[in-house]
Amino acid sequence: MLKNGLNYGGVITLLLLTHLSMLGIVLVRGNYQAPQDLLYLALAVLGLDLIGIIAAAIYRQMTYTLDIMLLGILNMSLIFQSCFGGVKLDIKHLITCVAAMVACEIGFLLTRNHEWIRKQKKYIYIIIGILILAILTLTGGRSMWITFKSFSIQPSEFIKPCFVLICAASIVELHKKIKVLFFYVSIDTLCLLAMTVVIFGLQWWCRDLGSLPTFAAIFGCALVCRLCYPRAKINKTAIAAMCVGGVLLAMVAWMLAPAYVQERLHADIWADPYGTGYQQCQALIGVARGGWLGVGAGHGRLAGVFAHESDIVFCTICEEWGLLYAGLTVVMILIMLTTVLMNPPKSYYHATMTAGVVAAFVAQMALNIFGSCNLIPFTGVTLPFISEGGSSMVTCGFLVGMLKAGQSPLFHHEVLRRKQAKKQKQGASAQNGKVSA
Amino acid sequence: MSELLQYLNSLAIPDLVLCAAAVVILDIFALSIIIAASREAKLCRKRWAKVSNGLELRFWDNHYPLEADEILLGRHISADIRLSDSSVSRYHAVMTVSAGVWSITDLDSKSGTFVNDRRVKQARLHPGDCIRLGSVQMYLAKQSAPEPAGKRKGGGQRA
Amino acid sequence: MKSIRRGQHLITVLLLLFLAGFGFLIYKLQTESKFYISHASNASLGKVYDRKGEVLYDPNATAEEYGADYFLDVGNLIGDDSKQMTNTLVAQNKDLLANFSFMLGEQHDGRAAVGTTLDHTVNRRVYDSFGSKNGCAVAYNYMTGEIYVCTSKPNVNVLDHYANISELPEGALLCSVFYPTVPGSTQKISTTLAALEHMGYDALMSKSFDCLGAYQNLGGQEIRCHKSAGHGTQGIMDAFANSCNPWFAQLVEDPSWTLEDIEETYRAMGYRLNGEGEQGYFDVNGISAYTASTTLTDKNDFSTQWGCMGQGTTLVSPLQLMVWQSAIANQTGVSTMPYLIDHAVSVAGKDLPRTMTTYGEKMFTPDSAAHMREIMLSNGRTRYADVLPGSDVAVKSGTAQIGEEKTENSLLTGFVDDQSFPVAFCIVIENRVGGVITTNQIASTMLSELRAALDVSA
Repeated sequence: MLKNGLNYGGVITLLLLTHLSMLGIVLVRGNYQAPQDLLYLALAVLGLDLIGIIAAAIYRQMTYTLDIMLLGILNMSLIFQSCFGGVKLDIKHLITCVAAMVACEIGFLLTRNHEWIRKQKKYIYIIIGILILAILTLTGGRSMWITFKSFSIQPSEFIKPCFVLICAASIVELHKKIKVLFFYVSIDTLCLLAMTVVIFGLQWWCRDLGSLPTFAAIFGCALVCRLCYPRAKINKTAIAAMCVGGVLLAMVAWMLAPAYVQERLHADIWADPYGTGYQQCQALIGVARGGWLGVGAGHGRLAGVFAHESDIVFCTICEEWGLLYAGLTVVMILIMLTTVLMNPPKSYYHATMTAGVVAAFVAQMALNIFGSCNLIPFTGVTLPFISEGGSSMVTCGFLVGMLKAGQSPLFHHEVLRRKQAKKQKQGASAQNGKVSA
Repeated sequence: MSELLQYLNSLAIPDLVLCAAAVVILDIFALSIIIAASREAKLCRKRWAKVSNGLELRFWDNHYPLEADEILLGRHISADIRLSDSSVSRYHAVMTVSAGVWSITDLDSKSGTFVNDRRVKQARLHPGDCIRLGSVQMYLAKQSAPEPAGKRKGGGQRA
Repeated sequence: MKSIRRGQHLITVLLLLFLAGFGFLIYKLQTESKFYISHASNASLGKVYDRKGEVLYDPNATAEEYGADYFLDVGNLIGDDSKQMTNTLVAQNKDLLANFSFMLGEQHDGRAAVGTTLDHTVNRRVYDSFGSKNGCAVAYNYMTGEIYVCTSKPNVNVLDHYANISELPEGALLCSVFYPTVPGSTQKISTTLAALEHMGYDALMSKSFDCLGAYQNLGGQEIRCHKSAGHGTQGIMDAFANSCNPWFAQLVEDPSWTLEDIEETYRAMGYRLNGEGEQGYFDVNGISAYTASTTLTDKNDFSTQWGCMGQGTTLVSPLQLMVWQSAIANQTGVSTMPYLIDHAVSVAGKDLPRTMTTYGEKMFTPDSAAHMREIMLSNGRTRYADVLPGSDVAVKSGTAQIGEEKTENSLLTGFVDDQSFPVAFCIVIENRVGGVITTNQIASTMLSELRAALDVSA
């Protein structure tokens, strides 16, 4: 029984069985040279399951399903990544999975008190500013990556949760307006818009236009929540003006888009299957080769294609595990997001925050999966929880923590009660100290 | 170990059966998560009932449960509790909760906010209090069991 | 509360949109999987067979198993999976040949196959009958569209695996049946059809022009006849049989019709005139066959008249020459479209539905077709009776001057006027001068072998 009084024995058992069944498939159909390879993988997966469950039990939370789902999906991704091209434990991915789980708890602890996190808005702006400066100064040229020996970080990934938080914080502040010349404007609106423009500009400058839709989705959700916010005071003319403005912006962006972007939007990948369309063509061939049931863990040929573990990871999983299992993995992520609907937040801040988080996940999943399968232009963004990449995994963990915060918030009186309990404890230990002295 | 592997390979377990088993287990896991999430949702509703003191606003036969920690009352279409009476301002008042105690704050409305016939800018509320916004009178009361359908009517709209 | 609910609705909309897209993606992957797998570099492919079950393509074929030049006559038609030739049956139909099912993925022991309409035995005999000469031959059933014979020389032996690709003769990797060539006097079929359409049969039959060996046209240019002494005064029947250039030049100049009349019929027959639009193609089970083209500017000018006689810029593929015969033989003015694949077999070994006959657009009236048929039959009876003894064969021959060096190709196109053996054909011999073999002989070999192979009584 976990600390909210509910019995999770059945769920945890099924979690372990899910991973065991996957390991069983690897045992029988996998491609491995030595049995130790599989043994190390099994130990890592089951060990991580155990650690995750024990760690979840430490904190008193109202909800544990997100933790269990996260654990389930992370270990599935560890098995997938360790089997690409041949079964061998991917230690780097194991470390990033652990980091994701830690980030989840940090995200939860930081954002569950919405009154407190709202007040930290200016610090969040500062953090975003530092991240942007880091990208501009430390990446060397127009790149998104800070590389140090064999280790690299993508700071723009960390901007995503910060952006979600400032979008959510702006909701409550927006009705405070001041008069500037002849107009009533909200300073917060201006700051948020300015930050959005800076982030979009940064993405364009670093040629990482693939992440733009994710930020646009977060901003769009925040805008819709803002329009729906009871004290928003936005009239229909303003809404119409925003729609027209949005369309004009999209047209301008299309006209100013670099040539390589415009080419990608019209490219027929099969016209040049060994040139510009190579990755996508190979990805689709891999999906076809795998069929519904896959060619077997480690038997895929996509492991030889660049970015098979990140940008086209969905197709790599389809090839080795089959479209059925790959599809179910995606459905598992969607179920994780659906728990937000079953247990809605109780404050506007958390509501906007969770909408922004879901928008970020859905946008990124759509870009990765549909892009690698040639449904939309290929953008090269990671698949949440599944793709290899420390920055992406940590960010995804943090975002899940924010989802958990919406379901298991800390209310004002509970904060006060904790403060009082802490004071009492401190007082008691001071008194004990005096007595013993 | 290698003998065990040879044996397992020699079994020639059809791929279909193996994959089907894994898929079924994954599906049952997903189902169990959904069931656990719905149980947690019930738990969270109970917790919220404690936080919000299980109160609701009543206007004629309308019952408005208090489901967020900030609730706007007014005539505006996006108000949480929409009161379409013309004496009510578009953004009339907001109710907030802390430690199970609800407060009401007037948002500079024209006709004012009255608690137990006393005009207030901000006031704490208690179960049984009468809140008047313009000519609309409501009562803060403990949540009762849900009434049969078809009985609700009145000028206010449900959020 | 309302705002929280709207936020929830927003999340629901996002999730539903994603699910809809994902569902569409799965449908797309399922239905296009064969197309994807056909682009795999080492896809497992099935075999191609002829109408009697003889193998025309085997991905695992060896010279020891089949014989060193077993596939030589169909090399550049059926092709292989090597990507050296793209306009071939195998290259364009890998999705049919792939041993693949989306349910279970690639099946290396799958039974996917393609059954063609070709008769390999006859095809090989026709190929061999060219001897040392290059050229091509194609024959098909003008009622159903089945291609029985399709071969071209030079060709490529796929069992050599392109070991000496640089030494292959020019044109070996292309099946010249599908590529345009100078049609020579076979073009006079098109010109005669245009005249029948716009002048009418009676008016055309009443036309009489003189041939004195050469003719100076209204533009002051000279059109020479292949018979230097001239053919004298002729009507259409004699002029067609004699393939008289001065007569046809005068026909083109005749004031009773306009250049637009000729253009109208030519366009209806599929010619691309004066470079307009884009190059068109027939599709023969994925293989692209070029459509005809010519330049018509002034019917009193030499180049236009020469073009109407099958020289100048006029280009027609042997396949299209043959396909036009079906519109004449069937007396409908509508071509029967040719096809090579009779049926495919799935990876599980199940026969898939057979190909149905399809037809082209209407090119000329049934009356014009019927009269053209008579003109061609008359030619066949008088000059080509030995092509297929026991049957009437309607034909038109042609000699085409090629290039600056003025080599000459010999062409023969026509059809068998027999409902039990409804075959149309076209034969081209390149650089005919100095050769022993003639188009008549190849046609005779082809039609008699085909009649025996199809078990049709004479």
